[in-house]
Amino acid sequence: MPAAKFQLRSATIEGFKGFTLKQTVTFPRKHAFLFGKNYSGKSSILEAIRWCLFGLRERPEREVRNTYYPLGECQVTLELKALDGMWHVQRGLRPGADRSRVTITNPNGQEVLQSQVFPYLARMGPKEGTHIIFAAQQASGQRPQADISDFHKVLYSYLHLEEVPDLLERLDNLLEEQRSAREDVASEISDIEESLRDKLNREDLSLNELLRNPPWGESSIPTRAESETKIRSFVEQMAKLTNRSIGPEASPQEALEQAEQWCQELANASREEMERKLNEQWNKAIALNNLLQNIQQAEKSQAEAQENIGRLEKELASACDGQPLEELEIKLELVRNQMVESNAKLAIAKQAEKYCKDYSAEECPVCLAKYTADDLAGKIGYSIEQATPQEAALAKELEDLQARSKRASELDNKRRELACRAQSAQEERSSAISQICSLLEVSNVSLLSEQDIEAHLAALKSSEETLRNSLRSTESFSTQWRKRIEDLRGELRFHGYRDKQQRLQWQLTSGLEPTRELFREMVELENTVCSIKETLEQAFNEAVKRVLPPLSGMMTDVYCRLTGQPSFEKVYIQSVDGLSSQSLQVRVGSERIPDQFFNPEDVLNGQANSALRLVPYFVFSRFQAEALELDLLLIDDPSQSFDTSHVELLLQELANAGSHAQLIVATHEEERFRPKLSQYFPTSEYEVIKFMEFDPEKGPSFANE
Amino acid sequence: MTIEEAGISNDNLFKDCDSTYVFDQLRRGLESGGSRSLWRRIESEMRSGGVGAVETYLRSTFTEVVQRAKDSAIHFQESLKE
Repeated sequence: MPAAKFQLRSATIEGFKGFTLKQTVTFPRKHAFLFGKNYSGKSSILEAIRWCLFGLRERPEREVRNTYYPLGECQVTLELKALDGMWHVQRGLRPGADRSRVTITNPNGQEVLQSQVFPYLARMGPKEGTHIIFAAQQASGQRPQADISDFHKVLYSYLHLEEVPDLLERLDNLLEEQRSAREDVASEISDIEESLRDKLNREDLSLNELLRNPPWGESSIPTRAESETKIRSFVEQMAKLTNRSIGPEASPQEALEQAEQWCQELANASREEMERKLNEQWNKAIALNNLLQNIQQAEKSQAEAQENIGRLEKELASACDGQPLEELEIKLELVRNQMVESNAKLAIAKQAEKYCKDYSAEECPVCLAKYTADDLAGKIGYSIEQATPQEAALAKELEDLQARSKRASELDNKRRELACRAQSAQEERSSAISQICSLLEVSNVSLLSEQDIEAHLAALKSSEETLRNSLRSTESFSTQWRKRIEDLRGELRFHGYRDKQQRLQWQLTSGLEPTRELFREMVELENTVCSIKETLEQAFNEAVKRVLPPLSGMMTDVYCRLTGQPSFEKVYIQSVDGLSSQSLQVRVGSERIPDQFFNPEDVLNGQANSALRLVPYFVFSRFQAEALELDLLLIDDPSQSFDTSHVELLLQELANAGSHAQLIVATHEEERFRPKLSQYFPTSEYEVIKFMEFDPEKGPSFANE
Repeated sequence: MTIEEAGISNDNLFKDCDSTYVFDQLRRGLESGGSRSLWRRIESEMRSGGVGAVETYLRSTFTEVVQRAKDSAIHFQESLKE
């Protein structure tokens, strides 16, 4: 058997588990057997070797520190002998630190990475008691496994098959991911197809709706070119009507929009013109009517005024005695003057009479003629007597004249007023006639009679009705044009629906084809990988199935040697379907109950279970075809895992394993092992280390013998 | 049953069950040209970077073909909007 590259030569331990002060245990020969009572510190050495190489990942590392050595270092150094010299692996846990740190130095004292020295450092077996530690040589593609306790992984590892289940598992995962991705893409394509079908259905519905009442009437379905020609022709017709033009570059839709705009403008212009004319006619008729009424009113006022003037003139003539009013005024003035004169004379006479009476005057105070006082008084008295009746008559006449004059003035004023009114009416009439002439554009007034005006009024009403009819007619045309535009638009819509329908059908078939082709490519790749996976699985299962019966036999053989198990003496390896396609499980059974297999954990005790987990190591110890970097079998108290009542069988297996592995066995059964050692191991190949006492503060005491 | 009783030599036991043998059997079992070509590529990846490299290669191939199909679907949908 090829030897491992490295051989453990010593372990220097400080502050770890049962150790306090730094101590070194040496392994000068290949194997070492550590004998001593329980709790003498043997196990701490095996634990220290394991911790130095792997640390403690599953639990807090503080647990490994010796509680009696809190301030010191917790440190283990392994010396590994190789062809090129001594290598050192040192792991330390600083006080207060949570995680340890490992350093590896080569024979030149240079620090190197663990991955460079032991890239595939692994261990297997039960967690406590026995450790199998090995570091395989570098093999490309081999995955490092820190802990290969799982039975099937151990077997595959020994069979050099681990790549296959690993690849199968990865292919399974990849195919699962790919299935999900494929379903996503398929769903996406399906969504697109559904969306296109929905659109297609909508187009079909629109088309059917339009075909129920086709815009081209009874004619056959026009081609797009025919519809466009119709549109062009209609638009040109509209352009002529509106004195516009349409460019050849305008699309049919744009041309129709333009035509609709023109149609609207034309309709609006006609309506506005008609309405303007109607309004004009209406206003003219109202004005004419009003003027006619004005004329009639003026003529009536004038006639009434004339009649009253005639009556007043008669009353005036009566008041003036048939004379003109001016003469009555002259006469009145004359009488008024006579009245003033008479009054003056009478007043003078009365003053003279008083003067004569007061002064007995004998001379006339006016003409200074000489009279006697009596004469003078008589004369003056006479004058007064004569003047008084005259004055009364004058006063009466004056009063009469004044009354008549007043009455005549009043009548004259009224007459004047009426004359003014008649004049005003005349003017109003003339003005109205003049306005009517202007309105009717008649130059000769004399040609315009009231009947003529009435005839004009009737003509205006007739013209209004004509205009209203024209307006209705224009709107009717406009409606027809709009209907035509709508029909032509309907034709365009029809072509649009049909084009879209064809486009959607193309998209649903040819358009989506590149995506479908890529999807098929995806499925093909998935199927190819799936086919490779299935073929690989088949080849793998066939290989495993072929090797399982002899392997089960070999395992049974080793298992019986190690445990001496009386109840379940058979070991079977089964390929379990359902849990994992590449999963192997170990089962135990008995010749006494054929065809029944049991889970070892259900029927075996702890010792047999531990031994069972180590069986593959011992089986394959015979087939180790390659040299390892490190190959250590650490057994702490063999009675925990093996049947030590048949110690020869166990030592034979250990010797087999020891042909390639370095054994370090710690046991309290010195009396049973030690006498037999030389029968199975050359004395030059093993060292016995004796553990004497254990002091919690000083650590274990031991010595090489 | 001892190894001797099982009648299996060391060489045979490993020869008929290791991954090299299984891969050889697989190669013989592949029928289509496509799967043989892909397997050759897988073996090449495995030789250069192990099983992890195979996974990386296949994942990237799957991703690429899925992405191309998705891109094509997206491109098609965008062309529908135009």
